[in-house]
Amino acid sequence: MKTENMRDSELVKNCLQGDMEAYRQIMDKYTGKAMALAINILRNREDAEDVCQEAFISAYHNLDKFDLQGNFKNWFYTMIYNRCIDKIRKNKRFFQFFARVKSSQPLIQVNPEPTNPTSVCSLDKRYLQTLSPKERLALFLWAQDSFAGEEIAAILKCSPATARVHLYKARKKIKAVIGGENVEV
Amino acid sequence: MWKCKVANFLFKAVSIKIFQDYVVMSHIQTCSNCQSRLANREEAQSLLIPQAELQNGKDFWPNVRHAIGEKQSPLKPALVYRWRWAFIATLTIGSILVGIWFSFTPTLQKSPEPTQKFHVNYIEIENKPVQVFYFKTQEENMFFVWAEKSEEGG
Ligand SMILES: [Zn+2]
Repeated sequence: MKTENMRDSELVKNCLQGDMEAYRQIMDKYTGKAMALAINILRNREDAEDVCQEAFISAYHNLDKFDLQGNFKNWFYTMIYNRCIDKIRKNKRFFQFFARVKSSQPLIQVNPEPTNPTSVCSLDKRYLQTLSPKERLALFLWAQDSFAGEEIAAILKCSPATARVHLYKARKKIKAVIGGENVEV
Repeated sequence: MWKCKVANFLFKAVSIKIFQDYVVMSHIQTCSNCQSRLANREEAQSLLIPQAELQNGKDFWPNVRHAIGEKQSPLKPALVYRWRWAFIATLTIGSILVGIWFSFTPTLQKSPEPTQKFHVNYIEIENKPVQVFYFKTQEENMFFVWAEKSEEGG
């Protein structure tokens, strides 16, 4: 783990000296992880791709703020998560606006119902609807990356106690969905 | 079993994260009955889209490289960047001081009253009177005064 951090820091150092190939290596390494995180939070491939692309660009411009002694993966995950939250807010605002337009006189003729063809259909909708973005993040990091409360907290910018509670709620909701119970945590 | 019920009741009843975490850490984490009501890693993973499925998806590199420029280094001019707040503060204070200065100076710049006008009788240079010429400019209150030494022996 430590050597992986050192390797990342080495790549970042090279990037800071203008080595674009080093940044390409970072991107190759983190594209899958970033997409997995974003898509599991956003539930939409197109949005996840937008978020990842923006995050890679932003990360490059902010590489000089990265602590070379720190963990690049966690730093980058934080960036992805923050962008996911922005995306969710923007989408929410758009759909609120859309609903208003639709409920008033038809200024725009939209027919049929808006559907998102790029939505991730392979995921269980019941599970997705029950988890908040924070819970999704906590669950993802715990299940895919074996993160503990402290590491989840660092990305969520909350206390480890709060992060553990998010994870607990997520696991309980998931179990309830799998077992076909009513979700109430 | 009653402990589990109490723990779950307290968790729901007191929605303070620190307290909820205390309940999780003190009972739920170590209780096999409570653990059986939580999804384990395998169950969670079965519902998440795995990284392996996305590894060979979209290649972001062409767009990212285009956006960040081919040879641009992410390093900002270190000195300016590190001291940006000092620069901003200095500029702000400077602007305020200049503002204050200009708010007082207009009284000095006002055109003098006719009685206070500068009047030249004669000018001496090296203890000798010199010829004085007035030039009126296009501006009403502006004159040039030109002093010229008389030529020696002239
Ligand atoms: Zn229990």
